[in-house]
Amino acid sequence: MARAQARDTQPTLSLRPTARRWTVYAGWGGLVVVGVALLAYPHMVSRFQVSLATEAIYLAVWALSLHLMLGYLGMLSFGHAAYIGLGAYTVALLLRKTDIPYGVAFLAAPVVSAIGAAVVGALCIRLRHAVYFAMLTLAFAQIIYTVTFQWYSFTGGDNGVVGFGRNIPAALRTNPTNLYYFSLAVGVVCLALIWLIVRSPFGVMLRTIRENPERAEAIGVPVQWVRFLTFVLAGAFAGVAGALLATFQRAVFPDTLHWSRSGEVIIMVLLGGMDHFLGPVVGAVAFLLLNKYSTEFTQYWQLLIGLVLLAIVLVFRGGILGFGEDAWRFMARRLARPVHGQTAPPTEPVATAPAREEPS
Amino acid sequence: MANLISQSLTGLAFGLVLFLVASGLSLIFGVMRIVNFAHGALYMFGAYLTFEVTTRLADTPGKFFLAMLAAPVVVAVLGLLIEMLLLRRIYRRELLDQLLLTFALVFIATDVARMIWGSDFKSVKPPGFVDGSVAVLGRSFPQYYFMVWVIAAAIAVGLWAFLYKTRAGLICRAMVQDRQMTGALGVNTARVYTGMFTLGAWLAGLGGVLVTPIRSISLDLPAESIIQAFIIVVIGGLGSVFGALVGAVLLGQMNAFGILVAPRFAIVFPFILMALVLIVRPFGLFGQREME
Repeated sequence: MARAQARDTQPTLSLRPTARRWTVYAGWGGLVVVGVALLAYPHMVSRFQVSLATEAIYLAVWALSLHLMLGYLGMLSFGHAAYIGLGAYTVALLLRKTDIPYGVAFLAAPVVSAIGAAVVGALCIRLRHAVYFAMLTLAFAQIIYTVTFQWYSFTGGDNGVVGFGRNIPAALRTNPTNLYYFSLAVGVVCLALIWLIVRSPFGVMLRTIRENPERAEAIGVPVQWVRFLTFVLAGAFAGVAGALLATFQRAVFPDTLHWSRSGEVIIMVLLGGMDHFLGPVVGAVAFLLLNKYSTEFTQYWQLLIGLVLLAIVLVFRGGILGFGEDAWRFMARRLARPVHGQTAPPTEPVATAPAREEPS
Repeated sequence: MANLISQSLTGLAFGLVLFLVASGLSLIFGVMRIVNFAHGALYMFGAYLTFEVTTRLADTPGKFFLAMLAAPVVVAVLGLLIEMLLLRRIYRRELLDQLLLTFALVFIATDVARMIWGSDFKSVKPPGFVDGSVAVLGRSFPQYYFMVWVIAAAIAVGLWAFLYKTRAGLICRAMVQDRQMTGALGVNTARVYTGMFTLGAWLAGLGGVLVTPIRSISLDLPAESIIQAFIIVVIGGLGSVFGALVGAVLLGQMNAFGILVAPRFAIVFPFILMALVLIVRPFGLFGQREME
């Protein structure tokens, strides 16, 4: 009996079969606590912190969209600023130049971003080599940046698009708490959708391609099609982030599309931890805090994030969550094992299996 | 017609400066299989150092040539340090890490330059004896451009001689073909990496020196030049110096004529050229097929 159980639990690396009942309860409990905290948050903090959290939400959606491509598919795009920018400009220009209702403009953002991503993706996906892919995505992002910057009559050039705030519903415009709840709702929907994508058979294909593209091809995964679709999906979610950004700032400038922004979103994903689903969320929050509070001691922001990126690449490969996980495992091994040999962390089934066999 | 020729000659001068940057990028890639995002930053340092030297030695004759001797050497030392202290740690890692590491260096370099030289645009005058213009087909044409052509041609010949007439060059070409095999034949590949990265940095630094009289120096140089250099290298084929030369000349012409056709969107034309090359011949005009 115990042996069969051990055999069942051994080969899989997924947490689900080995998770004890209390882990499941703890998981749901944690989710409820986090949910309540997120809902109560605006009533406990200052106005500034509410808008900071609103900013964190659209950054998190943006980082999640890149993570879909970078973390799950293993494709590094150096031009992901283009799609948040397309989304933001779509909302800004539609509200500025037409009388389209806000909701329609908001929904148009992911559509336009997805179309942009489809055009760029169709050309870039052909290049299997990561270097070509990275450079070509950067190049297309620079084209979009330059066109936006130079096309004064349409995009306003470096004056940006302003004065569309009047077409944003008053409830979102005047009350930061409402805007926070709205952003949170959109953010949670995006998070849930990305979770479903990652957990679906399509998500398994992503990881298969990341681990071994040739083999994926050989077992019948439509590699190029999956890559293309992921690129478009990532663009669409970045477009949602752009719509939130435009609503939050009530002004959009070409800076949003600058190449350094594409670098920043990569840093968010890596900072949080690329091996975890929630890594980008943690990374976006940490990044934003670093951004807001570093101005107190340095004006050299790029130097700071350059050093952060360097440290991640050279030392902290797993980012914040990876580091936390390592620390947790280390502590668990140190503390738990000598006393309760049988309850060693389920992440090491090989070590626990013999201990389970003996009592039977 | 005269207008077109003059425009074409201007484009050639700028293209040849970019050839220096792109050839280093291409060689580093060919030998080490690393795309050095920080290459544009090295180029920027070459430009700022020229500004520094020519400002400090404002009254010294031949200050531009002193800068031309000193700045690329300083940049080469910088490259040497980057290779020995940072890149060396990640050769065995995934490509992603190498891209990210050199990308981090761009961020750092930009702010270090901002710290030292501020964010204002800087400019440098060409050396005295070419600081004027001559009439070419009835149009005035900066004399300095001739100097750029001569130096770029000398470097191109020098690189060719190095690659095809010396033992070190032979080893480099062997490394481009097959790194493992070259290592197996007893070549100290680590030393070739260091040497090649230093040489590439020196070339980028020299490009930075030569570009200063043509355009103003700013913190935008790293991003702008790495993209242009990469376009050149993609068109020519990664790892091929001759390809870089052809790509650079093509890109210079694209820039020059793009400005005539659509001044504001001139920057888009090189990208279109690159996209076309990638679609038709993904490994570049003179590249190896394996890089597809």
